[in-house]
Amino acid sequence: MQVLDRTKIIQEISDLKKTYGDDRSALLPILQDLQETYGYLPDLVMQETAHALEIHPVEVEGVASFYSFFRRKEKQGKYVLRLCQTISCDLAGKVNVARQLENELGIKFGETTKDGMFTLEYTNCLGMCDQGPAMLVNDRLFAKVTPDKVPYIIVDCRRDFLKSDFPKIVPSDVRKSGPILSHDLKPGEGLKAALNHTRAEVIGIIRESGLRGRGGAGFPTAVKWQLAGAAQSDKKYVVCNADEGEPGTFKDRYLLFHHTDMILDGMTIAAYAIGAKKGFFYLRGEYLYLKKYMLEALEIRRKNNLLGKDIAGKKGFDFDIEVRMGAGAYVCGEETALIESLEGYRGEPRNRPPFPVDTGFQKNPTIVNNVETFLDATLICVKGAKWFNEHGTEKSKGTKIFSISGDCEQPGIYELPFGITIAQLLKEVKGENAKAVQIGGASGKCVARKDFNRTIAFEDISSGGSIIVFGPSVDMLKVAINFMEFFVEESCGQCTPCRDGNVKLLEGLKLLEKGRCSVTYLNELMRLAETIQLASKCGLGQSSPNAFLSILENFKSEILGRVPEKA
Amino acid sequence: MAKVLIVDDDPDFVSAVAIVLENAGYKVCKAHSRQEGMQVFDKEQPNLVVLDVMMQEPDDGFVMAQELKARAKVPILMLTSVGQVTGLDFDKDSEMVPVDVFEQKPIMPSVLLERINQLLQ
Amino acid sequence: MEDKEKVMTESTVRAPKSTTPSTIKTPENAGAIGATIKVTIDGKEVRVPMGTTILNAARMLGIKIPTLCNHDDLCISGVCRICVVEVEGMRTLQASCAYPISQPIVVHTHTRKVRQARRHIIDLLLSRHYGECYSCVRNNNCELQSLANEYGVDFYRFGHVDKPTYGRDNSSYAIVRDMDKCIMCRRCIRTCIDLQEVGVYEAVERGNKTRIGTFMDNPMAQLICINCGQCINRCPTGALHANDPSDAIWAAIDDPTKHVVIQTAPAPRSAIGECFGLPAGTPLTFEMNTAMRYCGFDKVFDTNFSADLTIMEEGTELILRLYKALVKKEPVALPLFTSCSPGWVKYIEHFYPEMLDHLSSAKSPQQMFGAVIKTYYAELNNIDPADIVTVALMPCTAKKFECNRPEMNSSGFKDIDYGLTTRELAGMFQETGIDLLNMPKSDFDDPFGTRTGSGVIFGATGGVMESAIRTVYELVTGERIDKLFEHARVIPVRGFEGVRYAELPIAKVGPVPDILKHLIPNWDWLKGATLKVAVAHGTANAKKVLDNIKSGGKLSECHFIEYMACPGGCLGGGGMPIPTNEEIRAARARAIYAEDEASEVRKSYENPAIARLYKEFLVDGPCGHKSHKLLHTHYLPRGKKLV
Repeated sequence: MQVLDRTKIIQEISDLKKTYGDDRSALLPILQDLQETYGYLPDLVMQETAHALEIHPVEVEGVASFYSFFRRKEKQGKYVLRLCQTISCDLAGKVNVARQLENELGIKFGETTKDGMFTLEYTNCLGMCDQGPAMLVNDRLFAKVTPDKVPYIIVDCRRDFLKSDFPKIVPSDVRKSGPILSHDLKPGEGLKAALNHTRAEVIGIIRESGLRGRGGAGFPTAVKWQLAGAAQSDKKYVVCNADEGEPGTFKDRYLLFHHTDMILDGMTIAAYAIGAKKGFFYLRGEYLYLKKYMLEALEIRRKNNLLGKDIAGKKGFDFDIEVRMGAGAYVCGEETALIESLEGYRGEPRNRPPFPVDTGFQKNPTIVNNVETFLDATLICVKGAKWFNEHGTEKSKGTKIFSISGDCEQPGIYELPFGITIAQLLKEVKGENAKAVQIGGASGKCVARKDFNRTIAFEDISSGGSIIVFGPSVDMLKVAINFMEFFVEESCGQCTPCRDGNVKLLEGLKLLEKGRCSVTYLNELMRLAETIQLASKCGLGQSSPNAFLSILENFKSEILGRVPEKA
Repeated sequence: MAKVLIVDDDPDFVSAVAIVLENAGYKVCKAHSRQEGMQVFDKEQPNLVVLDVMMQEPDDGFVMAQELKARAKVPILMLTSVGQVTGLDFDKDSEMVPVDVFEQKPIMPSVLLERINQLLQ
Repeated sequence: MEDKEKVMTESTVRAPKSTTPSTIKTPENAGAIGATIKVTIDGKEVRVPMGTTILNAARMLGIKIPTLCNHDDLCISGVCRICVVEVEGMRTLQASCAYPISQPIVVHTHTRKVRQARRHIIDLLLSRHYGECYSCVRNNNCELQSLANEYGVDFYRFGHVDKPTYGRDNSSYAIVRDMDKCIMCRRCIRTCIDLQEVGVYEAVERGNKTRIGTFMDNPMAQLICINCGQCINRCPTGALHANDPSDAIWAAIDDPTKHVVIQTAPAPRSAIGECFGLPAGTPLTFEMNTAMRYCGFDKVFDTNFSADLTIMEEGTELILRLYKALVKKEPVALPLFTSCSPGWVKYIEHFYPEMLDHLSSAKSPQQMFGAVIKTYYAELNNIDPADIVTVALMPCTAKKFECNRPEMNSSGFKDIDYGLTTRELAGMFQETGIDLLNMPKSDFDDPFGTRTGSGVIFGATGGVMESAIRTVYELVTGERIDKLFEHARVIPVRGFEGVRYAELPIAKVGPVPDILKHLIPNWDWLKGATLKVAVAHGTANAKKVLDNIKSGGKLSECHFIEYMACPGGCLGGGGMPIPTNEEIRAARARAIYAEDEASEVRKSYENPAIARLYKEFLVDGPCGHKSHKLLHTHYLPRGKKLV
């Protein structure tokens, strides 16, 4: 048992406050650092953090217990092994890897070895879906893990491999490039192009391009910027949503590494357009290995006058970006939940209205855009609206970057125009054999063969970029169960339909698995799914039963009346 | 007598403003969306535009103001309730919100007339 | 006297209502164009001010929309989703409690989708609610039960729990937590963090594991809880309720060797009718007296007596402190704080232990009465104090904690044995089949039976201050306060504003009354002085008030501050009938002030029972040796440390 020294803890927290600020928005970073120091968050640490930030201890616990990367009760091992349990890695054989990990370490998931060396945990999507099964060891990433690799990874850990340099290249295959990915821009080029225009002109160009949010919801970017730009406030914020948590998405991870400056240019352009002085880069906790890289990139930009004061020589244009780490909560991809998280609260979505464009971070006008949206905006500022909107459809302009995984020969990153049919897409990825395709991740729709002529676009089937291909042998009920387990865990837990409804849907799927669900009850659950879609508080809740509904609608005959597997 | 174009998606509000302005002797033309507003503007060539912010799109008012100013030097009186609902307030940044006067809804008829008179002088 | 001068800006002071997150304001002038918006709900039209919620618009039309997480006293949450409605043109249903109307809309409140959603939400809540309605303290007064009844729940569509998961937390004298009945509406969180700023509860964990937690799941008795019980008043189910002593009280009543006396605080009498379906503010003082005797209480006393006694002790303490500060120039803690509210006392013990010396050392009226009963009354009636069981009928759950404080036994016996809330007394009445409304009227028992208005107004925020001003002013100036305030209504300290400040100039002074002669030679030092006082309520304001004093703000100039932990004072206490809201509290206040007006004695020092007590028993007068031993106490610097 570790003996904790109160005076020392108080001093540490006081030092951390100097780094991260002394209001509540400093809570997450402070807890992240304290967990690093102590291996978990002991009661005393949470209590003293609360006192230092003038909040109640239970509020700190509420926050710490919300994010899956914080531990409160038991000290975590020196190495935390987080195996991805999301569908793509599941299809790629996660079960065997999991079993081997348990065998090698002699512990179950959720436990820590007696010597304090290893903690074994499941995690949701690590963004390595094209190279699953994936595993995170502290901040080091392993792809294509197989059971026979497991002992080597463990031996490496025992030998303290983490002292070696962090991997410079995060692997990923770009299978098909397009106008966005093949750009030839230099850092700052897009920003300087934008600074030649007035603020209104920049927004005008974005409006003309028809750019809509790349996160999936497709809200017109220019409208967001215009509203925030028109708002009168001394403090406005630009937030880059790099909380890529949707199962099956990994394009942001690729973009962050290979197009870093264009994304930061995009944020800076947005700051110029709306009049913001500060930006947050909200990076998901699973991408901790990118943090150092992002910080380096920001530092170089500061040196090159692409951040800081009078940026690129533009008098009075001051802007800087702070990197904030998420801590393992899918729901923080929802913009108001993300803002709550930045403010140091549980990542629970807010009521809308009011909207973040006027009542965002600490009640100030705030725009939250996806990584890819900022990248697109930068390119549009250089190459023009027409260059962008000659691709795509009437209502979905431009090309989109897709993360494609599952049962296809060429999983990876693809840049394809909006309006492409699913059949065309499957041809591209060599997955024509598919019996179904999941468009838009866990919150998206499962499309069966009969609908492969439908298109991917905001007006037809919308997607934030996740495409998971299911081959002929995939058990669709297992897929549905995987998705529902994801939502039961990742719901923020505030509203009734999403918190309690999804549990009932999952229980129903388990009954189906045992061949013990009546059609009457199944129909009731389908109606409940409709209620969850209609009555939940936020977009996550509203989309949580999509996979359940579409899989049951399309594969009812495969799923009903099944004989339970013998254990 | 001067002609005023009123653009707002709330028909009740448009008619209330119209009554006030007509009683004060103005000629009034009406529109309920940005697109209709631009058409009526081109046809009627009003001397002043009374403009709402949120219509079909939440930023239609700003966009229309920018379009109007690019086309003519017509004075614009922007009226909005946005501020009360969501805490939006507008700066006098002529670039982002190129309007001449900005007033919060609700507005007293006397204040509305006073602003319009000032703008038309 | 200045009228309710604002000492802090509105944004820094929280009225009992916690702030709503959106910035909606009601337009000041209804004659303006666009001041109202047309809303059509179920085919009926109404014009509402910009920013009105759909829920309130529906209420204006008399259309009922069910609610659960919504509470008039609390900020908007929008989490239960029971109040969803269909708004034309919107894809999803909208929570009517959280949707501010900003443009003309058409709303439907009972379409297929809405009815289906409501049923599903109720069914889902029931599926995880360990509902043992028969044995639940909230049976027949449970919002979940009512919803299930009103919206046609005829079977557990999604199953239900038949075994408790968490078990009850009975550790606290005041509040019992039974999380198996919790339905996650989070009203307790908003009550504790926003309304009272104490912060016992917060949602912990995530997803389907989300629950309302205390810090590291510590039991209630080990937390920084002030026992105010406001969370109980806002809990829609039986997940939070008071620790009910009525079984022990019945046992005492049934024991022929025990002499069971009950004292009744001012607030319950104006509210107990609510437990029997009567409107708030129905005064039932004298019917209640008869009913308590009918239950078997041997004596029924009025806490007004000891409220007056508190004024004598606390008022004297104030004078002594002022004397020390102004004449003797000794260091002394000013302003003096009232100590009647045990929630407030515990708040300071935890959050501002360095300011404990500001608290009056006078015990609260409840405890003073207990001490007097087990000494003076026992002697008078020749009863062994060991055989006396003292029960205190209080609007308050914190009083249950207070009477169990180990230091509250200066007579050698526990001052008060049981703290009983209004709700629990109503339960005892129900058990006996009493028809409260039709009980014959009867008065309180002697020797403490004088009806005094100065005691009764202790039930409302500002009441202690008003009584103190009436007494201190008259004792010092020798003049009737009625000269200054018509009918002795000290209006500036009344009302429901979060913090009220007032000044009382003392233009002339009179002779020192006999009762104080041993302490003060003359009043000359007060001549021309201005007594500065403040009144505050609702614990959310406590930090602001105390920080203002610490930082030398306007309130640091005060001489005397009344603080009540609960919004509205005792009449909004945690032991009062459920539901509560601003309107109900106002109605209770009206009943209390009406009783004051109807009283024969309205100044504490004029209460003949008080005069007799000092003459016969506390012979060395207020703040004398004997009263110090029996009627004064000390406090513990508890601090904020939990681990």
